[in-house]
Amino acid sequence: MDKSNDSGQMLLLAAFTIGFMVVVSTVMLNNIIYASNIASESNNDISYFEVSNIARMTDEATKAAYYNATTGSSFNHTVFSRYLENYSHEVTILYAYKGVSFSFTNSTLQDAYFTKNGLSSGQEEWTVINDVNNVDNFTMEVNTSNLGDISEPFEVHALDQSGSSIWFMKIYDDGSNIKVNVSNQTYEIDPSFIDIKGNESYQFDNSTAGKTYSLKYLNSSNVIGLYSLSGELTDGDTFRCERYKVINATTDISTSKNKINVTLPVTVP
Amino acid sequence: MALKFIFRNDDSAQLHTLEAIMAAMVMIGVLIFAVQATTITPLTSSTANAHIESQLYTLGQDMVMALDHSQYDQDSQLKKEIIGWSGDEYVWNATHYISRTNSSDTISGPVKELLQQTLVAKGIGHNMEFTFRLDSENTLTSPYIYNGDPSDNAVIVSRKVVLSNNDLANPSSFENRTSIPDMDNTTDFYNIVDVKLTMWRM
Repeated sequence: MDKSNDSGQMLLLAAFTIGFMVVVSTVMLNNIIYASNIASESNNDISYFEVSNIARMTDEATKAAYYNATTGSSFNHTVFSRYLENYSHEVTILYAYKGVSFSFTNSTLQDAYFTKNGLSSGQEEWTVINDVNNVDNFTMEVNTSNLGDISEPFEVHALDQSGSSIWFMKIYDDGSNIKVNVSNQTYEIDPSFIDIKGNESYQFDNSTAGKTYSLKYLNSSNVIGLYSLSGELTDGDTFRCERYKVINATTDISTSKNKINVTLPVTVP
Repeated sequence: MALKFIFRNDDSAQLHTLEAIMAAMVMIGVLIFAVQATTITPLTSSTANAHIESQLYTLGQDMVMALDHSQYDQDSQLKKEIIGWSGDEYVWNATHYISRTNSSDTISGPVKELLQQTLVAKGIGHNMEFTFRLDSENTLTSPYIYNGDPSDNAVIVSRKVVLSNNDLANPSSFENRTSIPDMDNTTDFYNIVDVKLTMWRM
């Protein structure tokens, strides 16, 4: 073959080689990007979903344990602890099948604030319940040690669907007595038992009858104690909201890659 | 007769060899591409399929989280579904989930509505199972809704629900029906049921 005739073949061959190298490098790069994406997804092995499931179960189990421990008589600490020990044992075994280590500890029962999560640092202004049709029972037992004066009272508001207040009650310490202000009328009260629904002076029924409303607390970090609220929603379902104590439930969740420690304030009952 | 070797300063053979190798590579590449292309089906594992699995997983998580939501001291819809379970297995018959043993027994309520409007409407195959502990050593998985064996690319979403004695109207009758036993006779703690929702693209 004449040497001068090789040039065409050499050029063609070089073109093939360059084309082949481009294809190979593209495929390799694509594989690397794909593999790193998959790897980053698999790293995230304790997802928010699992944490939310554990939080929900723990909240429910703690409430059920408290209910169990207070049924019939005063608080039975042995029953409360045993319920939660069994719960913790079962959850630990269920998560062990997934290669996840789970442990659970709970604190002692503490007096609850009227804030959203029951702690003094919790949300002060919050809606206790929405879409109320009527209330059967609404009582409070208030510890007044933290109660503010008239400039910063604890307030309960019933709001209609447009957000306007149709009834409100302000509880405050005037320096010598505990007072409530309802619809601009002021009464001296015994804070150890306030029957909002039953005491006609408070006009709760008159103001809310025939309306759909929500109940909201303001300045709720000023109050420690118990509230109990029950009745019927607009969809016909009954409801019960009670607050007596708060307990800190701590769960440790760990895998070979991640470890999460979550402390949840659980209000009981 | 003497042999006569003639050595020429020529690279033709090398050129032909290289040319042959490149031609072989191109042909093998075409063959591999052709074979792969013909075996890609909607269920073949691929980058796109991984995204579909991820979407299904998110959909399933949102569904069971919504069903497990409750407020104002009421049981969640998921818990109500477990409490009301007859112990039977149900299959979708194009309009209802009917019991395998009694076709007049159907599932109704929010769980059925959600599955129907979200999964059935999109043509997503789904099974629902309840897994629970029988004793200190054994675990049982019972099918609640069964629509066939899932594909290799199915995803499983699991949500655990705590049962207490006071959730159940009659714990012994519940155990007889569903085989979910009371794991603790000394307190109100009953058992934990792991609700597993398996989903796959048809």
